[in-house]
Amino acid sequence: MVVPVLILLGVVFVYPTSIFLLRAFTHFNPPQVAGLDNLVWFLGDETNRIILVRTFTVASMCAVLTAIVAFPYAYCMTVIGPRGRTIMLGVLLLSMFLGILLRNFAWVILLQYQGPLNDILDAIGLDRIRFLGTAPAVVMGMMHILFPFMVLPLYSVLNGIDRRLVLAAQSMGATPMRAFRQVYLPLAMPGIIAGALLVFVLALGFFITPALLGSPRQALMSQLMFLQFDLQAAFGRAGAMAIVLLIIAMVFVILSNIVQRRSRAYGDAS
Amino acid sequence: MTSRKASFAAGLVVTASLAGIVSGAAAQSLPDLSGQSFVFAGFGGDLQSNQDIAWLQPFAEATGVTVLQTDAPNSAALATQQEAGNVTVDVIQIEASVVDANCGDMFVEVEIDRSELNSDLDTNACGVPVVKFSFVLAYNASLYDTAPTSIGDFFNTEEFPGVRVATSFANAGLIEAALLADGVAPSDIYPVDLDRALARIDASQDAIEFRDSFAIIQDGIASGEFDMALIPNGRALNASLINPDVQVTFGNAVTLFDNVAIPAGAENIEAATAFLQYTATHSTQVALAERFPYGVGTVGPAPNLSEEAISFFPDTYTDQLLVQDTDWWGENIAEVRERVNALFAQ
Amino acid sequence: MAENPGQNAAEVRFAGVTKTFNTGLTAISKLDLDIRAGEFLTLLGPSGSGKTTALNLLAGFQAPTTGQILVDGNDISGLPPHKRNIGVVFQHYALFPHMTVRENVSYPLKQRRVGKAEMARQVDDALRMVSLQAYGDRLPRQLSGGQQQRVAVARAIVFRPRLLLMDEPLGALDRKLREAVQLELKRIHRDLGATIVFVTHDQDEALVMSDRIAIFDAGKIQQIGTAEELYDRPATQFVAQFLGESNIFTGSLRRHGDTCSIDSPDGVIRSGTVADTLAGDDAAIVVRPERCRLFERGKAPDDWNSVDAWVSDIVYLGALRKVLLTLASGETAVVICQPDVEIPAGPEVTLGFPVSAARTVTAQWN
Repeated sequence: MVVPVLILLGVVFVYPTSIFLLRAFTHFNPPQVAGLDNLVWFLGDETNRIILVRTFTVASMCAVLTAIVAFPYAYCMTVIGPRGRTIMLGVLLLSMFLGILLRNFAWVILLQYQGPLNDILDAIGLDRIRFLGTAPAVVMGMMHILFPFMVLPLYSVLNGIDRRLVLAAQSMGATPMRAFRQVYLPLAMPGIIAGALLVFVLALGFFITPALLGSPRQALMSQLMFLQFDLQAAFGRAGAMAIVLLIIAMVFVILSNIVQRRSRAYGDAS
Repeated sequence: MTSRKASFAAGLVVTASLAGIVSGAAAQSLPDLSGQSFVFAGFGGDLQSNQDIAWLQPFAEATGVTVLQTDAPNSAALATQQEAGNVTVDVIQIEASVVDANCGDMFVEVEIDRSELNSDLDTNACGVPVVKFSFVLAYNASLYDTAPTSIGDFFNTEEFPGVRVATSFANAGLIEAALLADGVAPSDIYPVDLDRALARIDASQDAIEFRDSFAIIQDGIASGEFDMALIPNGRALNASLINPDVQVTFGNAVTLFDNVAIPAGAENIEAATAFLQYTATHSTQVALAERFPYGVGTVGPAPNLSEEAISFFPDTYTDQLLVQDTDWWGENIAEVRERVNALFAQ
Repeated sequence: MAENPGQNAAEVRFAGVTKTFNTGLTAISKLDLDIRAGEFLTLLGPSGSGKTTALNLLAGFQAPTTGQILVDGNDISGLPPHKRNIGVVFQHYALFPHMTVRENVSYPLKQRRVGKAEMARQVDDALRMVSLQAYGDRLPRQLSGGQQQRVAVARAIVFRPRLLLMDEPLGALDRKLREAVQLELKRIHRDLGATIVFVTHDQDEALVMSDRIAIFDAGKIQQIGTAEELYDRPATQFVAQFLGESNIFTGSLRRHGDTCSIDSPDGVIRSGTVADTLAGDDAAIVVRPERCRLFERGKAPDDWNSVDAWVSDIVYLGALRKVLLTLASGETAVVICQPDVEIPAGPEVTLGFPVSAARTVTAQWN
């Protein structure tokens, strides 16, 4: 059973990905001609660096903010009854089934200048705000898409935490806040890290949301790749960008692995 | 608004029936291609579904050919297919500047009768000019006492205050509009002084909203999110059907057109060439224009349009248009993309 | 320390406490209970009897629906758990898995902002008390079950609480270890002097450790007293059956002044006492198996109760022997025989016991 799956993965995933990445070293658009020119071009260009840093920042913000928003949701799933849990899970899955495009357009409608959110601001006597085309709108839209990817790993970890530990801490004199911070939160960390990592890596590759909710000023790496790959036919440059993103993602995966392994709560018994 | 819409719909019905008669007449001289087939790759959406009715179905009926349809690969995807020796399309609709720049290598030269084509638009030996459209200045007429007269007014925030929006696409009228606003005469726009154009855009960056999608802009100008926009004339028409306050000026509207062409490596050259000949006739192009308000690449009697469609139709304003220099764009688009991208990224 | 228990120990009173859950289940109903300062009180009962709920109410993890809980005369019902200063040893210990033994034990001191040096000293004391000095840097999962249990105790006593609650703390240990830990807990109780409320469903554990035992059933205390009192003078059939083994005869009661008898299917059984708590005529007579003897059929002394019985099995319990009997009515009975007592050749025998050993109790189970 394992062998055919590996072969399938090799054919449909590993092979095309490798071909694409290899082009960074085999396909050149002037003035790049050979060798590491494409990587040098990417890292040497100020525009590229700005967009790389922005992508990194936006992805990190998504990871942190989604974790903050998803935590109460996942926690609620662990304490609510089975029926409530099924409903909460259903809401998550339903939202995933709706697809990225539809969910982003929902935000376009919500956030537009004459949209409901601005109507509320108007009704309470505040000025209308132009949300669309701004970085917060992009982050908001991405968080909506990424929310389930944070909740699910987080839920599975939170669900395994013995809630009596928090009671135990309180019986020893810890306020509920301190008990949460000193006992529950450290035990929840593996879930937070796993979810945040997933969100971060996914956010690195977002294309549609910044295109719909943002403006060219919020362009991310995938839009830059689209420009180079799709419009400029500069496959080598796009490959070089993919390599950079891949390295960033892998660095974070490795870092989080190290953190997880060092975490006393879930490490080996040795 | 409803009466406007209704009369527009009625106009469409009339023009649609006329289109059937005209294309029927043109079908007389077509070859017998029964048993053959070819793949047509258009831009999808409203345009391609109207092309299907005005072009593909009559052509298939007259020649017996089977037409398959798909979305057009862009030049990069096409290049990939050609590199791999696996070209999946036979007729592709693509920007004229791309065919200008790549005729003879990416695209096949065709021997067809070009007598009905507009010689100004017939710029290469590979493609047939089709689907002429303009980047117009669409605006919310309820906000302005005097209407803007040129797309250069996009930058005129003093006389026409309000929120303006454009796409980040390199070739979508913004470069030309910036030069016009900076005092360049329409006749001196090409070759483009790119530094000057970008400096003018940079100076107004804070006053302009940018979006990555025409759909978002069309929706936004119709909903009142934006007061002024640079968009293709067909999208302006669609917005005006929802919000009649949306009006357009074709003054110096950057006008460009596509080609239909045969990519090198295509498998059904004979049928594809016959189809290109078919599109090179005025009657064929008029049949499409009467269904969808994009201009023709041919010379001949004006198409029969409804009143609403006429005011959004490029050929109504022939003397006002700024016809794009496709040669300049074909050579420089890659650089413009990089420069525009860099401008927005900072 | 133990000389003046009041100083290190708290006095607890449950006054008319009822706890009803959202589901409508009443876990505890109108509980009145006085816990003396410095005593080791065991709450004993089957699962679902309300004993753990009583502990949770005392610790502050749940709030009573009605009634008051007083510690040293002060109502603590409105006090959150972290302000109650009560040590708790949880079932399965609830050790913090991400902290070392030392960090676990110092946790209560950290919450009380005890100084570093003082904290180290007190943690050392607590670890020494449970003989775990060498294990301070281990993580809980690196310890055996018994060691984990001792960490839980150290953590609960390190801040010298005057009241210590233990919820089935020995349930996860094997029998041998459990007996050792029982003695250790008794020693810690002696050294500490604190009041200990201990919850268990294991009657042997209760008998070994407790000063007093409160027997719970269906949300109520059935009887409270020393192990001896409960064993020798059970008030109800439930208590008699839950604590130790009993032979039980039921039937209609006849009172004869200070004595009484029951017309059971196996004949008239006489008793020398009427339990103080006995209400109405719904009664049973119980007798402990070690107070019974076996005779050849019809050979029991005349002034003893005697019942015809058939030996169905003999079980050897080391020194003692347990004889299982079937009575004429079909009921079963048990006799525990000392090694020097001869068991008559069966299977037909007579079960005999002195009238003074037979005790009348309330028959209903609650």
